[in-house]
Amino acid sequence: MTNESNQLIHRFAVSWRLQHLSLMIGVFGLALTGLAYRYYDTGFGRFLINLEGGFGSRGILHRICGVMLGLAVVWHGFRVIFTRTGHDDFMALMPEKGDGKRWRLALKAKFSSEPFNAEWGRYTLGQKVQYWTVALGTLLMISTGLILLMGDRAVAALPKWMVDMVRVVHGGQGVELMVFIVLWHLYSTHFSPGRFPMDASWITGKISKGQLKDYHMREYRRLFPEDD
Amino acid sequence: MNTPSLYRMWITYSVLLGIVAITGIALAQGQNPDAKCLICHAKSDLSRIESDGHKHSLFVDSSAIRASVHGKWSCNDCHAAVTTIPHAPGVPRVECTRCHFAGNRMGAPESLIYDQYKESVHGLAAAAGNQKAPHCQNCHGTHEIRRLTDTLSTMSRNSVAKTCGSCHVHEFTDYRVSVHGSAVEKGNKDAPVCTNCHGEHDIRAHSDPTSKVNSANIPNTCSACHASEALMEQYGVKGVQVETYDESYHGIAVKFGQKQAANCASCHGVHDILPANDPRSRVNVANIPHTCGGCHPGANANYARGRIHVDAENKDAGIIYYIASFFKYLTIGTLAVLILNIILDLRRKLTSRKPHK
Repeated sequence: MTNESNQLIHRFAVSWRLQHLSLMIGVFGLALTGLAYRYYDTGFGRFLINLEGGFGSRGILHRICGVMLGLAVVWHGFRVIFTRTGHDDFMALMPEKGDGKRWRLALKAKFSSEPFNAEWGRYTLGQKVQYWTVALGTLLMISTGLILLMGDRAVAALPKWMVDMVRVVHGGQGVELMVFIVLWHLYSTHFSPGRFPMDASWITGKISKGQLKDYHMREYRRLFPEDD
Repeated sequence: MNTPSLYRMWITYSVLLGIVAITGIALAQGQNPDAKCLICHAKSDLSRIESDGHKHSLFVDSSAIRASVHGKWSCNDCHAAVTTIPHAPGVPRVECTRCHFAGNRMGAPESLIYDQYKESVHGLAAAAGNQKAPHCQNCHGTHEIRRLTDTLSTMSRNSVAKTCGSCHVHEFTDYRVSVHGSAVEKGNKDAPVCTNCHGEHDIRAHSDPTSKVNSANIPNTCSACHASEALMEQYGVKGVQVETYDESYHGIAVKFGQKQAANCASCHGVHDILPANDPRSRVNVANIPHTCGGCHPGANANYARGRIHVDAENKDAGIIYYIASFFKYLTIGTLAVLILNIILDLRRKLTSRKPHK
């Protein structure tokens, strides 16, 4: 490991990091209060409900976290639409030509022990999939959550079976997202070998040159064309 | 000794034996401890005028006592306060607990239930001086007490409602036409009588958290029968009502002490429960907006569009079943793929680790 590869490069703006923090607190709070409700009849659920101050305050906390998540989403949307860096970051999350081919090669490499660099850009395909799954999943959670938040008015406006459907979608999608975030995002940023206890870039906003080279080669070349 | 003198001796002995036997029977009759009581109480018109002007009969039908579970006991065994005859008016109420206590040697059934009465809503009211509060006799009867299995008992399945109804008139009126009451009247052995829901000697006020009919405990009480799928199927009650209620927002809220959340009785009624297909039922489709409206202002016909006890794991739930299944398999699939991803990542990184931070 050279000194140069340890050199830290700026990767995430302060606003980006604060959005992530707000999103993280919101999602964690929603997951803990949501899981408590869904698994109320297990020791885990009862523990969470007690932790959250009982059934009533669990509901209030869930709503507060929902507002927090909503604010993060609105902030993210504004930043993507109205700022250059936000827009560029968002565009870098779009699927691009060659992603499929790189993914096939990366998948093949997963089964071998040979060194392999898929030459991803600013974001790997995995990160793009994580972003879009969480983004679309969150929009579904927020829209169904808002319907449920309307309570009596929702049942008066929609047939009961439709509100029941919304509840099933909200619960099912919530658990699905939780599994997705824990087993993919949290694993890859905290528990994957070389990452523990965590990849600090979500706090510092920086990434090492070496890591950039290993995981985001084309971004590295874009930032350091002279190194080629 | 010739034959005529033998004949005379036989006649003499027979006459003497007859005198002894008749005297014995007469003496034995004189020993009957109830006989003295019955000198007065066998008169059918014996009565007393109570302070409220009500005529209280003091007639005792000795044959009813003999046919009762207490047939072998004498008056004084229960009416122990009477020590002289004639006795002074105002004989105290019989204390059944003279014999009915755990560990008794009088042959009364061994049970701890007798003591429960003291803590019950009836026992507490009686102790507080409520003249209308029932004592043992008000429910079980007095001289004519019979076994519960005896249809003539005031506490037999077919009589309980009528007995409770002698004080709880409105409840009895509602109950006897309800799905439960009408079934019991037809001789059904499964339908609940008052005591199945309220308890027996331990009946508590519904506001008491330990009451079987307290809002927090009603789901448990109804579950005693309604959780049995076999029993429900027998009576054409479809679906898993208890499970679906437990998993509903109402059920979870009640379980965690939210008293305002609906329990079974909030929607189905209490004594007047009727099957959903009865137009008078609170859960009849036409009445659902009104029933839900009790708690949910603005409830309208949309409240009745869809199942109430939704079982997302049953195909009968339609689209809800398919959506729940979709998410179930999507989550299982996600778990499988991501765990495989972790295994592959660990294998690759631990065998050819590149230590970049």
